Amino acid sequence: MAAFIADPVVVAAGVLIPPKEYWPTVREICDRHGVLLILDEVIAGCGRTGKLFAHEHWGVAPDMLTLAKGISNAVVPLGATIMRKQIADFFYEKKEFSHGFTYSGHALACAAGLAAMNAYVEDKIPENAAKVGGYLLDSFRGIQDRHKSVGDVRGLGLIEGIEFVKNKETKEPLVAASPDAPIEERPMMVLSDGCMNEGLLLMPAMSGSVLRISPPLIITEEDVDKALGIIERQITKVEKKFL
Amino acid sequence: MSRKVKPIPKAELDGYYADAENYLLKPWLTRPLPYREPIIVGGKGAYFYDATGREYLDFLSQLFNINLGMLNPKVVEAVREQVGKVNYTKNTMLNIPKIQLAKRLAELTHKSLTKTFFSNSGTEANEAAFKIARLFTGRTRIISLWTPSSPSSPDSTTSPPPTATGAPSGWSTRAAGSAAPISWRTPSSSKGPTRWRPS
Repeated sequence: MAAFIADPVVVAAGVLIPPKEYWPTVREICDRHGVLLILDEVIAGCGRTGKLFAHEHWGVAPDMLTLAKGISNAVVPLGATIMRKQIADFFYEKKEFSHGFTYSGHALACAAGLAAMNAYVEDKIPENAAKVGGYLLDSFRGIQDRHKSVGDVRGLGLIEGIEFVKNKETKEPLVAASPDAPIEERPMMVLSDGCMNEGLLLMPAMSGSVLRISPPLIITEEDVDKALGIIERQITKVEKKFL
Repeated sequence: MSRKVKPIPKAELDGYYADAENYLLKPWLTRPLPYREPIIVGGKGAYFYDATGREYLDFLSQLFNINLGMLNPKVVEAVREQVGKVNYTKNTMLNIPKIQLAKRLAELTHKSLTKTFFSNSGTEANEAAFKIARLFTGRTRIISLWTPSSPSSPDSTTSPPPTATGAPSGWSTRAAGSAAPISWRTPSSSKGPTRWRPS
């Protein structure tokens, strides 16, 4: 094995927040076998989880950290692979790193990146993500209590997931893993389309039963109230149609 | 309807939609016509506006990336200033923002992480990491998380799938999967067991 790679908060699989012993255990296993630990913080990094980098929640350090998306606030595309000195030095001393990208270190992208990374720190963006994220999660717990289709709500800072079920008791998911039906017969698409019609952009769940919520980290509690009013109205509509 | 942007006249808008239909290959979910994805013409912070003048609240950061909101003044100003100095230097040459950002990333990340390789996207950042890991260890296999038949999972693998990318020339690429931590559905979950099973 060369490496283990994952995002510290597993967003694509439905916003999974690993338990506190998870990353220290993975780190220990990697060390025991000489396997490099790569943490992908393309989504989870840059303040998203309420800390500048998500792995800080678990107190572990990866051998390589990958960033993109928020690193330049998406003004100019930019990706970064940050590594331990020992790994980088290998390529000076032993081997050429033959990996050429025409736009590696593009001046405009790096200027955007520097300004964005400074803004996260100066404007206390992770702190706002933690504060408003906590308010958002509490509000979602209220929605969970009021709605029979909301099985689980979970999140860390401003990356949150709402998992819909047919039955809270058995945890049967609201939709099958890979639906192959017209959009109007797919509850999760009806939900996100309904929100969009009311002026709220969400990630449409093209498959699965988890709605992923990832607002800009500058939002206020007022924005949350506005969004959750729309989401709850649409959940009620979806439950009427599909449950 | 918002007064923040002026709506584009209907004839012009119809022209854009016709051109989009004729000249763009759309990724991901395609919907039957006459569905029209909004054309975005402006935005500020967590709000953006389409060509009809409609306002939207963004609860996705567009695609998990506009963390500071649209048109963050500090980032916009930095790019505006740089575009008048140096736009581009070849990848092996130096420019000042490249050096400054690499140093800043070393300061902000864990103290053991010091050197950066820049690329254009998260996919490329991960591919570079795979290639570096393979060259450094002399081994090929990469483990990523995997959620078999999980109702939580939109795909069979999570991001990032270590597919046939990032392999040094002439090396075979093999990937392995490790189960993703699905706390809510694990048998020991404090929220109770999952009785439902995928068929």
